[in-house]
Amino acid sequence: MSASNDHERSALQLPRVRIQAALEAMPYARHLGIRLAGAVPGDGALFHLPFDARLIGNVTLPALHGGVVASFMQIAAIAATWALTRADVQPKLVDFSLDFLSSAGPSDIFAQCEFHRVGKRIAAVGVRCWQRSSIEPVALGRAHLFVAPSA
Amino acid sequence: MNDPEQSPISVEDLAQLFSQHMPHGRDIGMALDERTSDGQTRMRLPAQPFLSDDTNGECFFPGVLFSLADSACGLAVLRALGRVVPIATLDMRIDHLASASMDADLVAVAECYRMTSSIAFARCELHSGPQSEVCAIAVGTFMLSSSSALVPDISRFAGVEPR
Repeated sequence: MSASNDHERSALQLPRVRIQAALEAMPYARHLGIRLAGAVPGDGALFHLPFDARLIGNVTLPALHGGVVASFMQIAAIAATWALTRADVQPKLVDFSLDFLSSAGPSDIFAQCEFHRVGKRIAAVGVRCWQRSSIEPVALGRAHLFVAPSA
Repeated sequence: MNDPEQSPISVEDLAQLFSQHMPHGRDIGMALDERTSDGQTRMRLPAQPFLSDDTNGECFFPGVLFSLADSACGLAVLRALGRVVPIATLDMRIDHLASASMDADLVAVAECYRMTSSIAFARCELHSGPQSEVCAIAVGTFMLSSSSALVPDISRFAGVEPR
């Protein structure tokens, strides 16, 4: 009814609807097949990349390509930050640093973001990526995103 | 050059096999350029709409640059080694100096600038647009496997079906 009620309702809807829209706005996210698995209590949305043979980078191990893991984590960081900040335009990746803790085998991978700091212009975001269990990450990433101010 | 008893396949052949048959490389269209006299490893990626960062389709998604840089640095390390050993990326960092426009092929130029017995250090410049301007810089470290017995089986590369 009132404007404040509308605002509260949209705030409750925040993660899922907005993150879904952010994923749909990224053609490469659609190409890889990245989906939103669910919302985790706190600030987390759970991102999911179902396994596909075309994502393999090393056929002898076999293992997912490091660039696929990186892209998945970057997309998670961009989508989560976009949803959080409600910026008009997609946040831009300034830099990204990725530690590979073990090779990512031929199975589904998951990622979750942690906001280290969200300022007016820059967001510092950590991304954790795992396969079997979230306490055994296969990769840890750190991103700076430029968040353009909303009009 | 390569000791035929140590490795049944040359590093150059393996580099070509990697770039031609690696499923992710095929999926997005990576290609390895001929080895240049400056000792650098060049890979290129033609623009395609599904590689873009937004629905305007003007720029490559940043992760695509990471894929090309990771592959080019890995091949630069293999070439610097001069023999075929399994390598693994320990970490990679990429700085995006500008958006990577899709009006020309994306080109990665990589070199291995330091090699120890177990770790290799490589860096890569990514060039985009008709003027081939530097749009990103990547730096990575690679672990070299201690086992020289694990020579990749080339039949598994050849066995990858075209999509």
